[in-house]
Amino acid sequence: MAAGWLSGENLYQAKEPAFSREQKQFLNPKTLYLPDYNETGAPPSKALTADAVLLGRYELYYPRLACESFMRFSLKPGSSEEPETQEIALPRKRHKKRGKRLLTHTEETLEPLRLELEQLIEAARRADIVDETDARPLCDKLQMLYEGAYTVLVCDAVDEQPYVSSNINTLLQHGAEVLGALKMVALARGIDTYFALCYADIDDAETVIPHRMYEIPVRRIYGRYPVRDRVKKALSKYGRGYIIGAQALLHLWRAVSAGREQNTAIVTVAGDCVGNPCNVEVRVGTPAREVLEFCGLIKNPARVVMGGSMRGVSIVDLDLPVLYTTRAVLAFSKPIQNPVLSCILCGRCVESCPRKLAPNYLYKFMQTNNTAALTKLQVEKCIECGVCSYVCPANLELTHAIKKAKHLVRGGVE
Amino acid sequence: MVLQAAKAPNIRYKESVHTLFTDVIIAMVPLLAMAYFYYGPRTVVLALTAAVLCFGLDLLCRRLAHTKIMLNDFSAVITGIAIVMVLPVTVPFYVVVTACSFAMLIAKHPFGGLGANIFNPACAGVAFVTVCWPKAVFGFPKPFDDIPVFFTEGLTLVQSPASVLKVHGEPSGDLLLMLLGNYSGAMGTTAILVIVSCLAFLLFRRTITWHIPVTVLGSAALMALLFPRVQLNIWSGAVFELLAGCLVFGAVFLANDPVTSPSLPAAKLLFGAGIGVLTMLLRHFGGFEEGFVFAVLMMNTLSYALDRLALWARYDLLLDGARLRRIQALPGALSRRASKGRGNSKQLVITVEKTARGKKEKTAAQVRASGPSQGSSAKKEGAEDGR
Repeated sequence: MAAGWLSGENLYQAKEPAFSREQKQFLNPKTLYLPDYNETGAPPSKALTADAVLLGRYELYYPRLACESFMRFSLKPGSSEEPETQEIALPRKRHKKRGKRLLTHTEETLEPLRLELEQLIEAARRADIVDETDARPLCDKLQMLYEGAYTVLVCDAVDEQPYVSSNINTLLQHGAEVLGALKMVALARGIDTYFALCYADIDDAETVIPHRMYEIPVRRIYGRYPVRDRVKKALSKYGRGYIIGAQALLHLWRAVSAGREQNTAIVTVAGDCVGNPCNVEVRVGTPAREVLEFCGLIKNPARVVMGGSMRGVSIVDLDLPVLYTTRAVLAFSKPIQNPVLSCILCGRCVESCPRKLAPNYLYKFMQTNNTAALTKLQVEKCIECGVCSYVCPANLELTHAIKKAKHLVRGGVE
Repeated sequence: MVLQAAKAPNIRYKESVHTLFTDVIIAMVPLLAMAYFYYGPRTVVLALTAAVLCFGLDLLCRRLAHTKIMLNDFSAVITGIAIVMVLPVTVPFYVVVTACSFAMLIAKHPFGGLGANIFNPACAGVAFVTVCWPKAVFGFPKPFDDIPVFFTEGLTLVQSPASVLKVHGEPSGDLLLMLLGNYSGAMGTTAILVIVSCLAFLLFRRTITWHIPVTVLGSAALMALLFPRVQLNIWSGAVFELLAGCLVFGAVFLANDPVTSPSLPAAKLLFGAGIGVLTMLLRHFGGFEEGFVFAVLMMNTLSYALDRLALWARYDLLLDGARLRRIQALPGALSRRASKGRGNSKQLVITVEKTARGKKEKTAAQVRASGPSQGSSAKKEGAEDGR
């Protein structure tokens, strides 16, 4: 039926103006909320709580997070300043008088430190770095890279969801650090082919993404919205690829060069309620309220979304914090309408499903809890990209129903 | 500040069912304008009557069924205008009223209303009045006649090209006039060029897909080429069959009703092909000169079955990656099996199974010993060749 590049949906990316603006830092919030993982045996890491005072425990409901108990901290006075760092001298950009230029087709080569992979793994473990793309500790990922037979190393800056530009912005703003860390890991592992990967179809971009930065190619992935599904296939022509997120590489560089631990995450703050949309580096645990106040609200939001615009969750409590894998905090003024009419079987969801499923029939069988039919229609193949709900003219919650159906098929209670 | 706990995705496509239906109404307006140009104000009065009647009956049925009343749901208006479009302009008002009532009260709402009806309401209404008053439905006035708005008795009615084809005659008239709609026929079905531009508009707006119109027209043309009713040259049969009657109008507006047509692309192809073939069969062997609405109704019964067939083909029959790889690997596997058969490895396995445990180990050891030795001998040969 539909070929891979024909399925999916062309989304208006709406990344401007946050995409082209300089990154800001917001490192001194009043309070921090961190999930209390005591039940599973893993308390919040020391890097996050080293300079904070515990105030108490609160019950907050964070969708898609198993833990409902949060610890509230306040920062010690004077601890929020930037630690004195002795960064390794990086090649300076030439046109310094005109201000920071984003779009240099940079010719300089990076000369990162030659470290063994064991040292990098140790540095990542000490700094408690978590990869923002798949929420796995970077030391585990590097260990896997060490053990596996990989031939390509990729820096992941694919921001395919509308409004989100935190990774590609990090790559453009901190190119030397991110690509330096990429080269460092590649040299340590003995991999010759390494590049950064970004999304090509950013239709409203005012900034042109260069094709080479510091002699390292910046490749593009083309196609309609759920391209993350096809990244592995796209990499297969170069060899067996291994992907590390841009923010994780940035934190790895900081850990190696300055010994800093990861206690920040870079999020895009955008949406039609935000007065000054930009990418902000915030402390992990900063509540959404403070992040939005930092960028300025011009209207009362009707919805606040943590995470991407397609896959993120709408929160009802503004105290919920930014976590390692949060890529965006979005505030919208218009609520989503309820389902307008019943399904009219128009088949748009079938056309645009990237996994060739039939969401309208899955929805129908989910309403009747027909597990046999759901299994037959391969509901397990769904990647929850949200395209079916996006295109549905009747505004049905197809993705949510299919998520529930997956749970039902796996034997869980609804 | 109360925040909405909406489900992902957090942005939505700005079009909805309402815009979908409004697009179809917008596409029908030029056709109505052409009908006004050829036949005068009675066309507009008929269309308004049908639209208002259908909309009112739709609201009434929703009220009776205690479902939510949506004033911006224009699906009933489409049904009303489509019914009028496939009828002649001289059709009495009671025929239109009967068709609209049948469509709403019997074909649509008893099955559950919008989204659940099995039969296309417009086709069902037109089919009912075709069976009841065939003379009123198949008597057409000439274009540019003075047609009064209310009392149309005493007008000279002529035959349409479809009825000429029915008796294996050659329709008179220029091909360009037929494309422009300047011949006697139903109100909205004659201006072929306008209908084709409406099709382009609907395709561009993604209201319909190409599958059903293309397969309806393609299969009908193929049938007409193979079994022509009029044979001036090789193409004439197909051209006249496509231009006469309501085939093109129906392929764009009637067969594409999303509720009653299948939703999977493969099923849509089969659905359209079935409509085309059935229409031609009804034109050849049916009692009336035009059988498109009956063909649509017949294929409507099959639309869910066709969807299930397409799903079966997608998941159980068609070659997903694993099956395709298995089939691609089949020749290699067969040749390997054949080469194994030639050697004595199979026999060796049998002996291993048959012998006692001690001997088994021995034979296994022999196999292990023989394997590397063969390999090493091959290497030696290769090395010698190299020298």
